[in-house]
Amino acid sequence: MTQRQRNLLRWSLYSAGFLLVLLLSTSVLGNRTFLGTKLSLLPVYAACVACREGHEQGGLFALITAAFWALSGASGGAVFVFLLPLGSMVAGYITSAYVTRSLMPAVGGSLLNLVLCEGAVYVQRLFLGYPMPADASRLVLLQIGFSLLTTPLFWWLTGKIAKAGDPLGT
Amino acid sequence: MKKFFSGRVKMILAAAMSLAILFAVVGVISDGATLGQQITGLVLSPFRSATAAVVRQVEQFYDYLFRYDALEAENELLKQRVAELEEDARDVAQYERENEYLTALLGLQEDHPDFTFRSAYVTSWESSNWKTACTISRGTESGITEGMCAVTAYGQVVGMVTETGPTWATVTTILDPSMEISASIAASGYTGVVQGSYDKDGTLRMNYLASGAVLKNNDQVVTTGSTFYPKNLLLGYISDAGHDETGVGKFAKLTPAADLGDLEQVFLIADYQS
Repeated sequence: MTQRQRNLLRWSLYSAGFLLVLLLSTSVLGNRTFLGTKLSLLPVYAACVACREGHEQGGLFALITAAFWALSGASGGAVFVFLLPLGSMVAGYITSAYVTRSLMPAVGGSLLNLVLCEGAVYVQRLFLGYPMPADASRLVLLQIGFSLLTTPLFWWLTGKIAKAGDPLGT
Repeated sequence: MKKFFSGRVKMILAAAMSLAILFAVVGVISDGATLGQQITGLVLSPFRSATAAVVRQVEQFYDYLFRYDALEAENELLKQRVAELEEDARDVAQYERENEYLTALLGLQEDHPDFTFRSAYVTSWESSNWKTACTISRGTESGITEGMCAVTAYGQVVGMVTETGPTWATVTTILDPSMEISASIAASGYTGVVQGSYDKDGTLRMNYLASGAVLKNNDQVVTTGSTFYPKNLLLGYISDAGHDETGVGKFAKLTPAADLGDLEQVFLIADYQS
């Protein structure tokens, strides 16, 4: 298998992972709430990919997935399109430049992405005067907290994908 | 930080900024689903349908393992009977009032609406906390158009079709705060506007009720009939009431009649006589 084929396989699997995240978020967990809040899985997944692949490739992947996410009709899509690549690139850069590639930096990157994306959607709604639940800020914090718990799962998944796309460990 | 801001990073950020602005502008000026959304929806449709089918099977298997089949069947039967009885009771109250009006209006008779239904399965739900909408498995190819009213098998209002693609459509449910439906209390005839709310318990709010309105718990609230909603569809039951913020009118909290938590299939009213 050539390097080019390995790359193709790896990014195809990352894309399949994104499709899984999208279907999990909408078709499986879309109608389920945890203490009143829904999970936000895409920021976590994008951060894990960026931490694995580095900030440039991770940022580009986050941009493409966020654009697809917005086109799928998810609310707050435009906010995600700018902030998800930004957060993912920062997370990927810090991981590759300053710390070892492990779960903890991925948790930090996921937190950054979640705070940026969900926080911005919340602030946007607040300032544009959209109707909000009385405990909206609590819901956002819960959403960030619960979503963060899925980081180990996505870190493991992206690890498997990275390995599958690089069977010789090059 | 020099290394971070490489040429490629700048390009990605510029593309992200441009796309974000584009999405925001298109989102504001477009009415319904954009071309991009239609294509994405078309691509995702089979995946959503397949996933929803798998989820349904898993849920059924779970039910089979952990619940009594007979109990479930009995529950379904009772639900149906309760819905029938409620409809009868509602009709009686409605007919009584209508009879008074019709007598007063020199015997004019109102036709009953004839509904034509299209059925569809729910394939996915909006994943954010800020919107309550679901995607269904049928779209314009099956005759679904924006503005169609979605109901359950028991005729309880679910919401309205707000976006359509060839093989999918989005139903914004009555729980979404953007939805406003003209409604009346079946027993007393007081009218108001039912709106979604962000209440944790998933209740609706009926606003603009007359200050003298007498509101009773469990009174049924039905649609008054409009361009989008046929008359006399069940929206919910009064669970609480009070004076609104202005002090001029009253409001009522409603428990939605449709169980949106377990919604698998919806019926869209394609045609009716008003």
